[in-house]
Amino acid sequence: MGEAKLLEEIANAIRAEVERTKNVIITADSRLVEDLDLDSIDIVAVTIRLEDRFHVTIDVQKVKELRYVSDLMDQMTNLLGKSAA
Amino acid sequence: MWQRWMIVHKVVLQVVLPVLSRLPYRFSQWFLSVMGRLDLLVVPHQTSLYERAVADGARRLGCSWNVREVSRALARQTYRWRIRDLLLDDRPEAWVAAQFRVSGRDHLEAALAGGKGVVLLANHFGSHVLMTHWLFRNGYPLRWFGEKPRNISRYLTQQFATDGELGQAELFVSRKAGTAELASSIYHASRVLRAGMILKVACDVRWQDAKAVTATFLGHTESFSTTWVTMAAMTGAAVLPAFCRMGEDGTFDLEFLPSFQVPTEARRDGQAADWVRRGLGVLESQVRSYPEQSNDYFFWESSGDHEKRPPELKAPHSPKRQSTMAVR
Repeated sequence: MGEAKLLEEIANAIRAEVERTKNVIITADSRLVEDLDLDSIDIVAVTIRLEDRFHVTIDVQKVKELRYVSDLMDQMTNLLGKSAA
Repeated sequence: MWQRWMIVHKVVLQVVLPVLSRLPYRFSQWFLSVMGRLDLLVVPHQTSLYERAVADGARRLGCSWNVREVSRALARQTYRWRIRDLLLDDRPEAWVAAQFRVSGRDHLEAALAGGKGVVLLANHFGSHVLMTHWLFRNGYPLRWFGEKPRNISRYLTQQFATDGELGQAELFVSRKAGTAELASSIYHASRVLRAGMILKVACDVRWQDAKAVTATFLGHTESFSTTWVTMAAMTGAAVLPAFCRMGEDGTFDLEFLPSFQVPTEARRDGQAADWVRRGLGVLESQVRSYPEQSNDYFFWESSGDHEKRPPELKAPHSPKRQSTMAVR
């Protein structure tokens, strides 16, 4: 999956879980907390939605490291690459 | 004043517990109840402190308790609920089992059989830690979500010493935790539930964050956490209210109520409040029926005074990488 498409999927997941981000510009550099105003439960909800969407399971230890949208992109890229292999 | 008095209790218990743990259980429990009763006799104004608190509780709930009797029963319980399960260490397994009278075990089994995990909707009523003790003793797959309990038995400490994806370690949360740390704990909790396990979460946690809701409990209006509602809604786990009361003889009445489901849409803005109020309503019914098991509820300070959670911490900005991609 291309980077642009993956970013779109992640942005859709964020918007589906957090209504107040509906009209917010989301980039790979967007900070989950400071820019998108996600709280801890929002981050978990987005993570679970992405897991269900892509049929992957994020390493529990990695959730603590999610700061940017790009972190979610990196996680998905790694996991999708592993599942394709 | 109540908080200061609880500190005195802690100090006293540190002195007497090593001795009490070596004595016959019933005697130790009786001794602790006598200590509680002595508080009222020896400490200036303690009787009026208890009676005022109980009378205020009765007034707020519209209950006609015998204030004097309830105050004394509450005082007798005060040291006993603080020692939690510390007196159960090094006792024979069969003997420990005999200290519990359990009702509603079929509700627990039915909730587990649903296969989506169980949010054990707990509280700070009665001997609440003892329900954890009983569940572990009976081989149930349990994890505790919340602040790490202190002053617990060696047995429980061992049960909590689990790591890894479904381990206990990541599920202890601190009020000082930042967003990332909290997210990690909540994610772990969701994994525990999705693995079909039991996650103990208290329904009476006063909390201040964007998702907390205002509810009235025992006549006080406070801000409460909605985490249990969110986790149940996200995972489809059954929610099982549970209560554990301590008898005057140191035995325990553990009660599981019928479980219920929280719909996915409960996570939407404003809808969690009804579920929080439902959970608190069930707990309030227990307090109405068993006020002597209310521990420190009647001594809660107003929301202006109690420990507030600091805002979720935000890390300083440092751009990760340059990207021209943006999605509207």
